[in-house]
Amino acid sequence: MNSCTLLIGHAILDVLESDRGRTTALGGIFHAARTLWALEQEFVLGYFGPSYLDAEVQSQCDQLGAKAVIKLGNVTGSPNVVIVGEPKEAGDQRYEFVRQESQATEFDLAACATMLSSQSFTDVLIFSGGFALDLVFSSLNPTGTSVHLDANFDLPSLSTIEKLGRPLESLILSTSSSAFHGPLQSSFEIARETALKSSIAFILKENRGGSRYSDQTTNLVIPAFPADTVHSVGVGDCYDAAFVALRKHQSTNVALRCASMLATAYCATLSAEKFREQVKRVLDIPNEEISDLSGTMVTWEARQSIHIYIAAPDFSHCDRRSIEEAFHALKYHNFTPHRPVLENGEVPAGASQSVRASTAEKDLQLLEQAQIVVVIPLYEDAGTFIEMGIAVQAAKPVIVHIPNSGELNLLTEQLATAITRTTEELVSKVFQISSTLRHGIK
Amino acid sequence: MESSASGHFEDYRPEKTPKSTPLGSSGSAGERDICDREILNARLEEIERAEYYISNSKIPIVGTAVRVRQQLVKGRLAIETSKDGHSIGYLPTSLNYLLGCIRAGRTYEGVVVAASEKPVPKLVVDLEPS
Repeated sequence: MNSCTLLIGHAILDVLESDRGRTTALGGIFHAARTLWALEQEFVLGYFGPSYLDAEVQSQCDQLGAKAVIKLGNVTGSPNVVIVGEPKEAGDQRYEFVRQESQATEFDLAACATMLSSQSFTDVLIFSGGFALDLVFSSLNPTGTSVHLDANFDLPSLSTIEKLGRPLESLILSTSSSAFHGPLQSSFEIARETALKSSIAFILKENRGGSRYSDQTTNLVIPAFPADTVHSVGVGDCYDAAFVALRKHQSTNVALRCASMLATAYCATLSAEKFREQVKRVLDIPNEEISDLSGTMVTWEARQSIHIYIAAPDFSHCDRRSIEEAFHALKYHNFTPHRPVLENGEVPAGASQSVRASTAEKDLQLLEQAQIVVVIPLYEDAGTFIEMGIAVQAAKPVIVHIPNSGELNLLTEQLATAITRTTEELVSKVFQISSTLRHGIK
Repeated sequence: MESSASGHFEDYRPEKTPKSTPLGSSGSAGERDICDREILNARLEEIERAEYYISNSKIPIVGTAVRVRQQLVKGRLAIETSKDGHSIGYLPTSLNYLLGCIRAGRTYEGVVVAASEKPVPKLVVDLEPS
């Protein structure tokens, strides 16, 4: 049988907020659908959604060449709208599900049964959350098909998965998900151990730090291949769909690396056509090169040991929003940023020599221990540039982050390892440098 | 990563064409093919481990003609001198997408636009697709 993937999940309307304004697009299950379209892989779409989206769902599926579209359940009480406050996931994406608390999702068992009996597919990829997963598993039980579960929005219990009557083929999570940080305590090992009780394989997607695959015999660390990010919505879903489709004909390692590269392509454009072009190019790269290509690899837990000293006039009388934004973005990604003024204290005017000497010493110790220094020159503060000079002399990577200003002093510009102008650029550069530090490349 | 995000937000959907014919190619209006873009101010990495520095104990000068090597070197995209084919450094991994473009037949050539030895060797190149 030719490959055909059954996609099950919600049809969502994504609303992306940016400094360029607001835009909308069908999201949810459609990120995976677009990926399969770009891969020229057959798929069937089984969706849950409110009735006002039905026509648009059908229209998009027609354009994407879906083999069939079946509505598995109607959503009431909620428009299935997600407002994405931070489309590039520099920090928390600030997803807001509009009226999620009043969302009610029916499950049309008859429609599901008809779908399963009338359509043939080789894999099922489910994006759980907001529907009765146990009923879906019960319905899939007799089919014997491989079932992959992206459980970012709803991590099912063992008893729910048992309704499938067999292990999942893969259980996929992301470090962006509440499931990873809640019941799984932000631990890869706990997540892996939990997942492998009910799944043949476990995959943890770790944003710009890569991803990890684990089954009973194999552990793989897959690099991310970050590039210019236009948006970060649905990128993980793209990865999932690409992996499920490609694993049929490729080794697990190559399939995962390709999935990572396609995820990059997905976030680099809003044009479906441009995405598909890039997908074709990636697929034309020989497998040996796919396997050899270096990228960014910094696991979730490894980032905690990356200490980042934020050199800035972090004083109470200054507008510190850009410092706070950088700090929180780095914390979100599990790095260990330091704001020495907050940690060691802001020395008040007239402070004693003892306080001044002690504070300076603590700041310098913190600087010495850091692996990366981020300089945020809100204004021409002598202390900030002294710290930068010390870092440069110690051969530490120095990122000068200037979200609000243009020209830099000559030596500041020339001695910086990198200059960033947006939080997304800063985070990406920190990932890249961290990966280099971890793998010993200068 | 030296370049900033480009493009503008709009609805993300393929062009409306019948299923049986190829989809339209217009996509996002005005968005250049990623393989057609110039690469400006790309700061090279691992300069001291590149062939040129190892052979000459110095870096090439501004204006040196360079190109992207067609084969990966230890998983990286290398920049080499157009004249002798000696690697001078490696592109940042954020430009790895170029491998797909190269395998699709593109080549990339350019020049060294900045070069300095202190405090650490630094090379910056501009590249154009050809």
